[in-house]
Amino acid sequence: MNRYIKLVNFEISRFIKLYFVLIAITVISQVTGTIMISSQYVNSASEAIYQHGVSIEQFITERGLMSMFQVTASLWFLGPIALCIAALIFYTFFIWYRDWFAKNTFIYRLLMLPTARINIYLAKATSIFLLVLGLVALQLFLIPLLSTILKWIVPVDLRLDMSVTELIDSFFYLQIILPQSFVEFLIYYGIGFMVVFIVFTAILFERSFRLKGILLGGVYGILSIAIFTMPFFIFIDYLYPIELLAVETVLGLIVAAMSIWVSHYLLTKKVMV
Amino acid sequence: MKKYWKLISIAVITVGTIGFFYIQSALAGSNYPEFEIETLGGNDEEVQDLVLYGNYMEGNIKGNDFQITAEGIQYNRDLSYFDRLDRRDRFPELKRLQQDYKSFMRGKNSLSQLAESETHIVYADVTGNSGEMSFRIEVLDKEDNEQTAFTVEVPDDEKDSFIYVEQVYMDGEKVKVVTRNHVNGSMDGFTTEIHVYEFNIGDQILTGNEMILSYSEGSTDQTMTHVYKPGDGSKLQSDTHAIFVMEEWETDEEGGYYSQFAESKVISIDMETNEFTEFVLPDTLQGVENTVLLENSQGDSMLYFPKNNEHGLEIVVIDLENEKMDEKRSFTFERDNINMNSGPPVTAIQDGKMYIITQTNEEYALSNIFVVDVQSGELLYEGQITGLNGNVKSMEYFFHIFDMAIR
Repeated sequence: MNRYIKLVNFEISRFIKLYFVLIAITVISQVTGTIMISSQYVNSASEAIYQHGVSIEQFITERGLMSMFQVTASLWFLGPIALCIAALIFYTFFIWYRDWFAKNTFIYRLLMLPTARINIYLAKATSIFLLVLGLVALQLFLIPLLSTILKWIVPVDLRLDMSVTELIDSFFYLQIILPQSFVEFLIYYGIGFMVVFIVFTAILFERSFRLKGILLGGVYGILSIAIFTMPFFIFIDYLYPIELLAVETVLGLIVAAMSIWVSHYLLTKKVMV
Repeated sequence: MKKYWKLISIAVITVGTIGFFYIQSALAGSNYPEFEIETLGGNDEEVQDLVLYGNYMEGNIKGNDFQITAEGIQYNRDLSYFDRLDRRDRFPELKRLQQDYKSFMRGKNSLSQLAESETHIVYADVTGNSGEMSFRIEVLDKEDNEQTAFTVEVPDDEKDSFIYVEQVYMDGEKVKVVTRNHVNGSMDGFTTEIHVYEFNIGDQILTGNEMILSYSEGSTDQTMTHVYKPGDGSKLQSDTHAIFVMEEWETDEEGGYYSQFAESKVISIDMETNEFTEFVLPDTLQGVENTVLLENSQGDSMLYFPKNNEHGLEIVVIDLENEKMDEKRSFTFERDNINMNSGPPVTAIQDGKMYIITQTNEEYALSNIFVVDVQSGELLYEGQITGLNGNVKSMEYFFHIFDMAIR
């Protein structure tokens, strides 16, 4: 256990600089975006009202009220999120390959550690989980902050105030990152982490059998996804929704367990340094 | 410990923030405005079983779907995930069948493909692609819980591209299936045929196939035809008739949609004899989008068309027997707050009572609710949906009821 926590801490420390860069980019872009979009709205409102004599009501009818929705639907807000997602997907691969391709083959030392080798795998997976969830938590901090900035800039008559939950209800993309209920949160991120396990296992296939391993890893990935999605092709007309959910939960756990088990085998018996 | 500060801080902040967010949003619930049913007259028992489904929006952005009952309002986001997963509440009849006959009802989600009698439930489906389509008929004997199923090839299916089952009718061993068959179209337009297929469930054979009528959905003659069945599919229709409303639209030369209403007709098929009649609706129902309810009582089959007009809520009754408007039974509830631009009323009919929701043009009373005795035309209940109390300016919100169910 202690070894495992040490490994997680080690993996996170290795990424922390880049992680802070991602956080900084997100904060800067989203705050700047909020200021820009709010100011533009207020400027066009004062131009319309003071220079062209448009009434406030008429301006609202034409432009709509200013709300956090306009901010979240903008590239300022979604761009850094997409960047973070891309960076973490990339790191899901890099977290393994850096150990082989860095200056000194670090994986050699890792595998020699006096601990079960599966701990390395689990530590890397845990790090990815924590890094992803950390960015989700960052959004939960940032959205109220951005709402406050918007309230400073836009006068009350011109804006529609929305809470975080109301904002999530209004915007489908946000519902993927922050689902409406905790059960959905577990489902969405559970599926995400199952996929991380599958990808890790595919990487270990490649690391064990090299060229042939790419094929094996691909087959393994397709097989896993096929098992998980099978009910949608076979039983979709047969199962009631709640039963489908139960079946999918069990299959998801089976696929994740299978990945861990196969990886354990590959790490102890097959992996090449 | 000090060594692990990065790990510990990320873990604590992450779990704490996300946990706090979900606990807080589960406890506090949403903050959308409350709406309620307010009784204006009649017995409020009449709306005890009523569930109204609708949507509330502020500034086209902030809002959620909701359901309103006599107890109050509940927004969808406040429902548990499992409740949201199971949307059968919208179709109480389907829910009842799925609960009572769980095994037989698997995969059967469309009431138009089902018929129920005292002793049996029958289900009809069409599967396969053009040229190799077949009917699948499944029967459940309620008493001994025995299921039988058989498949029969669809005759002449080379010409059909798709077949929809519209209604199922059962009379002893005889099962009739009303379908709408889309015939493989040419470039000039598509033809649709309404068929009645007859099966004998004892011998498991197809005993009849009658084409009732065919119509063109194409645009060559610059008319578009739109055919629909009364109701919203929330009720079983093991009735004596299969009813379709046929609307013809004049289109522009390119065949564009939504040009102009030309004519609205009713097509009625007697399920016992396959006899088919077609008649034009009275003038008052021409040129508007209609909603229609069918009710059989004491051997009479009546069609009810609730409609908004400048005087109030008009209910036009048509007797299927003589295909005419029943002037004596048609009536208007005179109200001066009905919004004429809000589309047809939302309606339902059950146990001899008609439930009608109309949108108002008032600020804080948003919808009128009428419960009417079908036989006498008597108003059993009248109410309205109120809320907001001036907190939101009317130009900034949107409220409408789009469906209802009677539990």
